[in-house]
Amino acid sequence: MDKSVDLIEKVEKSKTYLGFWIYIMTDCVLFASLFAVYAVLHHNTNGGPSGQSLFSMPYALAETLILLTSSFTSGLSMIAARNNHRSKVIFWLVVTFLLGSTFLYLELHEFNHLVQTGDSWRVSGFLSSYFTLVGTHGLHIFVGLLWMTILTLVVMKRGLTKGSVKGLTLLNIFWHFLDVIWIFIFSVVYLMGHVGL
Amino acid sequence: MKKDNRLTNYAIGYATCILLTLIAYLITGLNYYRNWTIITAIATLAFVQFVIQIVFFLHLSKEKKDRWRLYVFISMVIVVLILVIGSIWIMNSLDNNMMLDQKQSNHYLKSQDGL
Repeated sequence: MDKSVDLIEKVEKSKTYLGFWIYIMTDCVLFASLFAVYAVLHHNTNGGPSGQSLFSMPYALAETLILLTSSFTSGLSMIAARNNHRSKVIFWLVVTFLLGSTFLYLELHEFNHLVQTGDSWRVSGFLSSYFTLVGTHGLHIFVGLLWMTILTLVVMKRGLTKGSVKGLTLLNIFWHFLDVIWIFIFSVVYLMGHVGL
Repeated sequence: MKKDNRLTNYAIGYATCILLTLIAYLITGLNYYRNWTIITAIATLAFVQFVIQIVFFLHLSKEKKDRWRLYVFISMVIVVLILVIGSIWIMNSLDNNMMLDQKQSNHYLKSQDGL
């Protein structure tokens, strides 16, 4: 009964876990440099629109709450794994996947809307840095969703084995990390952009 | 007992984060405060939420098994602070020390075949 708990504890003590953590920390540095670029360039609108006139706040809030909820449900899949509850793990992974893809859909929808109305990355330094920062986050979300799909299939087929539990633990911290990055995108790009930094 | 604890932790983290997000969202609508007050408040709320997610979702603690993760985390924070604050600082003073304004510098660059 306690089998997958032991597996999780083992993963959390392993070098793979620390190595993956180090990768995540270096990814934070990548995002930090994109944030720095955004902070430097966000006034350079080149006569084009600023963030204040472009972004819809309720839309950004909805994105934030959806991603936050998906971070929570991915945590629930981890708790289900601790309890050796395979069908619950699958259930919460699917819920997380659906929330994550809704988030990605909303983000791409916003990008599409901006490009359609003539506010693409070519317009100004501000928009270039905005698309790069938010787009890089979206790309990470996309990779996470792919990983999640594969992992769900593996759990369905093989159950909570050593390999799938390891994947689940690592995916879980990756997904939480993406939510942490989004807090800053929401605060710096959307909220501060709305106030007019 | 241990399992309940984890679930409660996640629930506390989740509820607090929603609350902080909503507060940060609502204070942007307060027009009668100065912009810098609101921006400081948003930054503070983001920082609090960051700490909460690191503790409640990523389970980073001072326990011995997390020691190395903590060290890597701290060095990441230092690098990030240097990178972000340094860039903003340098680029701002560069901006301030430019003698020409936008129009003048455009004119200068064009006359020099610079662009």
